[in-house]
Amino acid sequence: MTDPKFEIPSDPKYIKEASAKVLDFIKELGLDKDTVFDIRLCLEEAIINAIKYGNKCDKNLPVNISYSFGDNRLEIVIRDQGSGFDYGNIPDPRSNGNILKHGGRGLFLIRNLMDKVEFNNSGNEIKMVKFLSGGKSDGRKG
Amino acid sequence: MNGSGLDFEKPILELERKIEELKKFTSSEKIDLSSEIKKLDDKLDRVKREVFENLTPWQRVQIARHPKRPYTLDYISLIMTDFTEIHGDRVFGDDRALICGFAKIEGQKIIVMGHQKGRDTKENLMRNFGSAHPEGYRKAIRVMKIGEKFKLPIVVFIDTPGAYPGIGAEERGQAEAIAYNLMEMSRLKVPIVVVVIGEGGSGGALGVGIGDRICVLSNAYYSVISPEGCAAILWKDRARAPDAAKALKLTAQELLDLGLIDEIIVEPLGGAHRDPQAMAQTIKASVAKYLKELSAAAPDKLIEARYEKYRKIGVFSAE
Repeated sequence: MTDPKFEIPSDPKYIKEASAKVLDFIKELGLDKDTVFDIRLCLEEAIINAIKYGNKCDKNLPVNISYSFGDNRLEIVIRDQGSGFDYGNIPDPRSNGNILKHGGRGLFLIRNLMDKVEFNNSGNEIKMVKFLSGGKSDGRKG
Repeated sequence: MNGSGLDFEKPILELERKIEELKKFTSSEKIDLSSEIKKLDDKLDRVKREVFENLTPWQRVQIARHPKRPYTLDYISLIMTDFTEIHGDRVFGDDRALICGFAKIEGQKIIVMGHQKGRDTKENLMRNFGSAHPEGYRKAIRVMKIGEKFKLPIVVFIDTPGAYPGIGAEERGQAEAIAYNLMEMSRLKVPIVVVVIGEGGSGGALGVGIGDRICVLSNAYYSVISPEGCAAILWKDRARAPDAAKALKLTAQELLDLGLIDEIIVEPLGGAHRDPQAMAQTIKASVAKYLKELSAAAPDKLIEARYEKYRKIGVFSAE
């Protein structure tokens, strides 16, 4: 069976709908509310990044979302149509110059709340992994 | 402020005093001064409107701190019945700056809580000027969870200059207590209606301030820091508090325009302290309306709507 996937236009009004779809899938896994909250937050932040930075809010460009669960591993992949970014060189939102900025915390939250975060080579696809009970880790990375 | 009121209230208080004198003179000397009284009444009305319809943010802050302003216990006694206070956090002690308990509003059982200031020095020391310690916030969430267990909606009155920043408060985990409350309140399965009745001081307010409906009285304020604190940090000069009050966008109207609150509850002309009874009835109507509206929602829908409400705060910018 292929992983469930869908796409949304690059418009923030579709975030809730996308999030609800993935959450419906997650509900079946019987996770505790803290874990569900973390996953939802990361999912929505990743979609916002794809819309805002990847597709530059061009409503004609889709954001692709896919998700799967197996071997106690929940995997969510978000892909935009942009040219990618240097994911190794993201400003630290905790540093003095950034602390009062309105944004720039999405990826920081994702990296701290998910167990594994990977990007494709071109930087327009993020893969977020959460290890659930019995998995590699259900703690949080500092 | 002087002993009889705020500086900008002076012309009003002076006129009221004159009218009162004339009325006394009329009755004691049996002289008809009704036309003079009428003229002064008209003037008083005009002056009141001039002063109170054009208040600066700093003047509103001063009204929010007016020593005669009604506090949580005043509103509880004016609009609720059967109040039974619950004490203690079962960890450290009882915080008299934040009171919690059971009550009834229009016959409906609820949980009510709010910051409580004192009317005089002695009471203010007992109430810590409305600045709660961690035990206050821990008591609050304990009582809220009782409410959740018994399916009782929660009504919160906010009136604090801020959470207490003393050494004991920090040692006992002030920040943790507030943060814990934010998390727990965001997912309580019962309706929460919050009313900022005076000062909405930053984390001290937020620690009991997560709700489904947030109302702010028209002269109350809600801010990340007091204007004096802001002025001291930004300009090293507390006297510039009026400038800070303007920059902080802390008035009810500004908060509504920014999408941070749901309703402004209009105060009687001149402020809640000029007619506490009328103020209480207006608050009661709003609270009752929201409790009715929210009680119809299923718990999971309520929590989802609360999540959405807070996620929507802020502006999506494409910069």
